[in-house]
Parts: sequence; structure tokens; C-alpha cells
Amino acid sequence: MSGRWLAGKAAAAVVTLVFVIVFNFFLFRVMGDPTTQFTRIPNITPTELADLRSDYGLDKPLLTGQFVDYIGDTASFDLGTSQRSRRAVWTEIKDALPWTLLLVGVGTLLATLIGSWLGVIAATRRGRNSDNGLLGFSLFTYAAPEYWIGIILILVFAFWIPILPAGLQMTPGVEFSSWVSEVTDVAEHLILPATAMTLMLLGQYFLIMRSSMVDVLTEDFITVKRATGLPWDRVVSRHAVPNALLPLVTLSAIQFGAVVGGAITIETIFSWPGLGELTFQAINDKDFPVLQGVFLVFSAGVIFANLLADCLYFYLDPRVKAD
Amino acid sequence: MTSLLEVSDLRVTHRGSPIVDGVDFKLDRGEALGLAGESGCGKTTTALALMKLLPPALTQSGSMTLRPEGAEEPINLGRRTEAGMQLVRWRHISLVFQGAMNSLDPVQRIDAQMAEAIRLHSDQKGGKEVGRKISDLFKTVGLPVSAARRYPHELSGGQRQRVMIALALCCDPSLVIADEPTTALDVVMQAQVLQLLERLRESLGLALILISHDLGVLGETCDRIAIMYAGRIVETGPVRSVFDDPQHPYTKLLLDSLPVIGGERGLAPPIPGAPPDPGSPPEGCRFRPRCPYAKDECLADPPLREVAKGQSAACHFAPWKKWPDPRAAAAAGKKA
Repeated sequence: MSGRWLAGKAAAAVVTLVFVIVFNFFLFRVMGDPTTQFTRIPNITPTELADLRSDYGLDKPLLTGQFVDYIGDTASFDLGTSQRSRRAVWTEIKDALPWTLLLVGVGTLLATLIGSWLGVIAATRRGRNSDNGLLGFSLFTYAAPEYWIGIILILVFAFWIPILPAGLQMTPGVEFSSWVSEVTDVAEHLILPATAMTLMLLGQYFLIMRSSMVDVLTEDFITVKRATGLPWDRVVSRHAVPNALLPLVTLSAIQFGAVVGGAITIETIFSWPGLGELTFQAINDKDFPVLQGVFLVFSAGVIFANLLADCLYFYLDPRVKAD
Repeated sequence: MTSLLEVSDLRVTHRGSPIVDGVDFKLDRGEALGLAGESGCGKTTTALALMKLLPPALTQSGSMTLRPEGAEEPINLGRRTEAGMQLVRWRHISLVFQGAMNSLDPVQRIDAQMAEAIRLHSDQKGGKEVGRKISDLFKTVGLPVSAARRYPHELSGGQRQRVMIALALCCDPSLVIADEPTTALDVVMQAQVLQLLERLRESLGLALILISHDLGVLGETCDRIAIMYAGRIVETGPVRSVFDDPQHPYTKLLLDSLPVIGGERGLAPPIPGAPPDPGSPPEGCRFRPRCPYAKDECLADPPLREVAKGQSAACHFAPWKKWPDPRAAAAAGKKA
């Protein structure tokens, strides 16, 4: 039963991905002829333009030529060549992806842990000062734009109290004597962007966990567990939290997918060489092949994260198996 | 013989408004007491107050003394702290809740939930011993032992209520409080669960407080019954005497409102009006505004006093030898 369920979910994910690939092709055709930006180069001759078009395969018919080429190339992970760096788009993405995963992974993990922990605290102290304080704090970080938080962090911890680097993923031009010092250097660079990321995500996790806990705590089984003589803190940790975690798991998995693309502003501010910064530069340079590639990766991230959330839910909530 | 549980002047208030307003009762070992009344009259609140499980917005006072079998000294529940109550809960008093649907943690297997309760109150730490205890309990309540490995949602409503009863018995308590244990079940399951409770009470010598708005359910199961109205007990006594010869107008009208099988067809007469708002209870007798027999005396609070053998009622005019027709009495009262 569970195998069939998983196969169904995986098949749905593949269908979604195929749709994204097709949509991605037409999205960039609608934007117009990419060679038009080269016509801004003075003195370009029509022959040169025609050569450019045939180089990019833009002279072929749309469906039978360009689309077929595109599907074939995408299937073999050939996402084209960046117009700016002249490197393969796939290589650009492969270089940037680990940095984004590191930043987003650390940020999501910290935000989930801290947010849900604070949510539990607030829900069990509902209506008291600590609850109101936490609610105010989390609404503030939720509402504040992440780039503003990033700038404030740079201002305070890199400028006024210069203890942390203001940007980049590691100190440039340094030969590291060992991998330990290299990791330490990266970790130092990671602190500020990861903090900004955590603060950006924290509020949602806190609010979801708090309201989920408040709901669960009014359930009958909580009263029954208390009636069995179980101390309150164990009622909370063993029965309330596992039930309240369910909506949070979905949110955090889906968020992880979405945030891979959403780290654009934070990565730009901290010059973090991840997918976000790659996207930002590609937009500035009208680098269509790169944009097409990162869009595909972002979508694949969201689809994969959703699949992961389904699997986690399946594992955490026995009721899912029955349906 | 001293009683198992003695409750006197139990009061529960919410921001000064009385929810339970001075309830007294005694319960003997092995006795079944029925607590009846309309929704919102304070039945469930009384049950939760006995285990001190009320939400923090409610404050309770009054004395509650429990004398469980084998205990050297009576347990003064009223004075116990939260930590002290944790030792009493389930060990001496357990609870079967209304709505069997939500009474178990949905994401834990049933045996894990039972083992947790058993381990809390006994030295049985070994998995085998606990497992044997659980399968014994499942046999007692008539469930297949394999059901213990299941999750709550995999069982039917009736099975879940049996699980709750098994859970309530797992620490051999001397008192089980059953709050509307059959409300969410169909009639056949209702009868089965009631029979099970009855059988267990006899074989285990359990005392039972059965809370229900269904007088039929209480009549079948209980030795004594207490009728609650607006946070007070208005009448109490042996089930037969109260049903055959009610001594409080509320009880009388409540019984009259039951349809009689084989009797005349038609709608049973409802009691006009609604229960009072606990924030501003009426002066004197709480039932006065709805009572067809109310007179000027009723502006003074009637005490609960013995009016027949073992039967008490809180009405100035009890004992009632003969009940006048309520409609005629109400009409006469308006003229006067």
C-alpha cells in the first residue's frame, strides 16, 4: 500500500516537472528574440545577426526544431551556454548550488528549530507577557524586509563592531593551510547571511507552531493525558508537540524549496555566490540561458521539497496511511 | 462504613460567576452515582474539579476527601498540589471522556499510550509484564489483543470507547468518572458499553460516577442519582425513588418531558424557558423563573434537605404528595 502511495506521489512530481520544462521553453519565447539585445551593438550587420541566430538555433522552426532540440538538451542536462561567462549554464549552476544549499539549509534548520521551540513556549504561556513579547518579536522579523535586516547586520557586526566579514563566502586570495581553517573561514562568512535568513523565516515557523500548539492543547486527549497523572511538561513534549509538528513539517519542506529561489536578496547583499546571486546577475545581463536554467532548478527544488514533505508526513502521521 | 468519596461545598467560579455553586455528595465503595442535568449545568465541570483538571481560568474551592482501599489516611484532594494530584490521578480516580474520537493521541499506538499510564503508577517497568497487563485489559473489555498495536483512527467509535475503558482500568482505580461515555455511539454500541461498565463495576468493585443528560442511561446503570440545575444539586436519592416519586419540580418536569414507549403519541412537553446565565443567577431558588409552582417563598434559597428515606430535594414545598397540573398551577400563579 505504501509503495503504491509513494509511486503515485513520485509520478505526480515527474508530471509537474515535465510541465515546468515545457512552460519554461515558451516563457522565454514570449519574451521576444534574444538577439535583439545584440542589435544595440553599433555597426552590427544583418549577416552577422543572421549568423548569431543560426548559432543559437533561432532560425529553426519553433516547435519541430527549437522545442525538440530544447527537450533533448534538457534531458541530457545541457542547459546551454551563459552569454556573459561563456561557460555552460549547468556548470554555473553546479558551482552555485552548494553555496545556496548551505545558506538555505542552515537558515531553514535554525529557523525551524528556534521558531518551533519559541512557538511551544508561547502557546503554553498563552496570553502572558512572554507570549505577547515573542509574538511581537516574531511579527517584527516576519514583517521586516530581509535585505533591510541584512544591511543592519552588516552595519552593526561588520562596520560598527567589525568582528565579522561583510560579504563573500570566504576570504579571497588566501591559501588555506588545512581544511579546518577553510571550514572555519566559511563558517565565519556564513554567520551574518544565515542570521538574516533565519530571522526572515523565523516568524512564520513561530506563528504556525504557536497556533498549531494552541489548537492541540484544547484537544480532549491532552486532558486525558493530564488525567493519567502525566506531568504537564511531559504532556507537552510527548503528546502536544508531536501532534502540533505536522503542519510545521509541511511548511518547512515547502519553504525549503521556495527559499532556494527566495535567497536572491540576501545572497546579493552578502555577495554570497549562490543561485540567488547568479539569478540577480543574469537578470542584469539579460542572460536568458542562465535564467532558463535557474528557473528549472528552482521549480525542481519546490517539486522535490513537496515530495519530501509528503514522505515526512506519511512517516509522522499514521492517519495518512489509511487514506 | 466510611464512604469512598466525600465532597462538600464544591464551588467553581469563572471570574466570580459560579459555574458549580456548592455541591455536596457522598459516594460509597462500589456505588454508581448518576449525575444528570441539562447542558451547561456544571456536570462536566464537577467531574474535572474532582481531578483538579479545570482550565486555569476557573478557580475551585471546597473539600474533597478520598478514602481508597488500602490507603492508611484519607486523601484530602482539596488541599493537594498539582504534583500531589499527579499521584492520585489514574491511580485512584480515572476518567472516561465523552467523544471517544479525540480522547487518544492520534499519532501514538494504543499500547504505547497504555504502557505510559501503567508505568507512571507502578513499578512494572518490564515490557513483558506491561504487555501482559495490556492484553489482559483488552480481553476484559472485549477487544482483540491485536488492536493494541493499532492507532486510534484504525478503530471504530465503539472500539475506541472500549479502549478508553481499558485505559481507565489500567491502574486499578477505585473510582471511574465516566462523562457522557455513550453519547457519541449508536444505540447498540451504547447498550454494549453500558453493560460492560456495569459488569466491570460488579467484578472489580469499582465506584462509578456516570455523567449523562440521558436519564434512561442513568436509570439502567446507577444506584443513586443526583439531578443538577444551574450549578447545584436540586435532588438526589436512589434511582427508583427519584424516578417514581420526584420531589423537585425540575426533576418532575424533566421526567415528564421523556417520551413514553407505548404511551400516547405526540411531543412530550418541554420545560419552558432556558437555564439562567451563571453571571447573574436569579435570586433564591435557581429554578424559580421556570417553575410553574413558584410562590413568594421561592425568593429565599431552598436548602437541600432530606424529604423521604434517602431522598433529598432543594424545594420549599417538598415533600410533594401530589403534583398539580403544571399548566393550571402556572396560570394560577400568574393570577395571584
